[in-house]
Amino acid sequence: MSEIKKKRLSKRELMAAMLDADAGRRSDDAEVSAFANLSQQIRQSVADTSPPPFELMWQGVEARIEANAREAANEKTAKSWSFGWFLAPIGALVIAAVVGYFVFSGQEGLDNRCYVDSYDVESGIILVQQDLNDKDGATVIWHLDEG
Amino acid sequence: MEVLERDLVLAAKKGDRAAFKVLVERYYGRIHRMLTVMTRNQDVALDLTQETFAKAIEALPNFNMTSSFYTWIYRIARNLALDRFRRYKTAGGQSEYDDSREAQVAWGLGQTVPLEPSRAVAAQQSLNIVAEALDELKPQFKEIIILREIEEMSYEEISQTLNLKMGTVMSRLFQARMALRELLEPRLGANAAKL
Repeated sequence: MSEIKKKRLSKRELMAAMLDADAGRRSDDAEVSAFANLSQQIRQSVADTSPPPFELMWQGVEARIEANAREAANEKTAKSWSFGWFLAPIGALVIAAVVGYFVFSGQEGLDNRCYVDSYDVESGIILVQQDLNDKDGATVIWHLDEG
Repeated sequence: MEVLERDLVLAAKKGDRAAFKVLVERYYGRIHRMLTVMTRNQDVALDLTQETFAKAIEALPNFNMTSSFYTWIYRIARNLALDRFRRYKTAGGQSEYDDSREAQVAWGLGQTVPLEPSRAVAAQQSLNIVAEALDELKPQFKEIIILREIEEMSYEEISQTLNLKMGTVMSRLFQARMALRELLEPRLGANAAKL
């Protein structure tokens, strides 16, 4: 591409030359040929870039898939544990308070207002909630499921 | 008879690893080539290629199939490559986006890939010059040239892949090619006449 040519052709004309080169038109035009040659040079410059053997590459993909899955599982467990550690002391205090209430207020006697519902859980955290300032209030047992 | 891509993608979405493997085998060469040109480092390109498909299998249930599988995979690869570049930049302590030659080469962690000499020395030198000039382009210019010249995508396919309007594709491609020609002109000497 000569300096003279660059100055002579407008941007619009150069753009038209590029579009023609891409469409395979006007191949006898010098500017169109210049764009076509550029494309060819670029393609040749990477022609020797061959990919690695597929199985080798695939082994790496599978290893990453497994590593990512392990990492995700570890993160989930870590989150679950951190949530558990946060709630465990609170839960222990509440349970201790409830047990203490029943032990140390035995003289007041227990009434029959005890409603028990039960169900099976495989995981999660049990939290016993009792307002110690409201002894007539209900004791609520929460089951906090994971996830 | 070749299994239709759509069937493979649907099977892979349901967790069929064998179907996913067929898709990977179809496209890993193109992805690897694109990443090699982007990073100029075959080790980094292989690493990113593997990461691309590992990410893809995780994201596959969310692939809504409005684009082709390759376009979707390409976007994942591109984002990973750009992330790698940005992380490198951050680690290097440079705050501004730098598209200088140093940064471009550094994207491949400083190890450029020598192209195998399979042609005459002079011709090979010209090709290396072209490859080096390509490295010096702004990332968005380099990317659009890769899509057009190496991936041999149509303007419309580039438009879909980069989510750009057709006019923007033409304009950016034009600017990229003119920038490349400007870089090549003083370096190719006699061969520059062809450009």
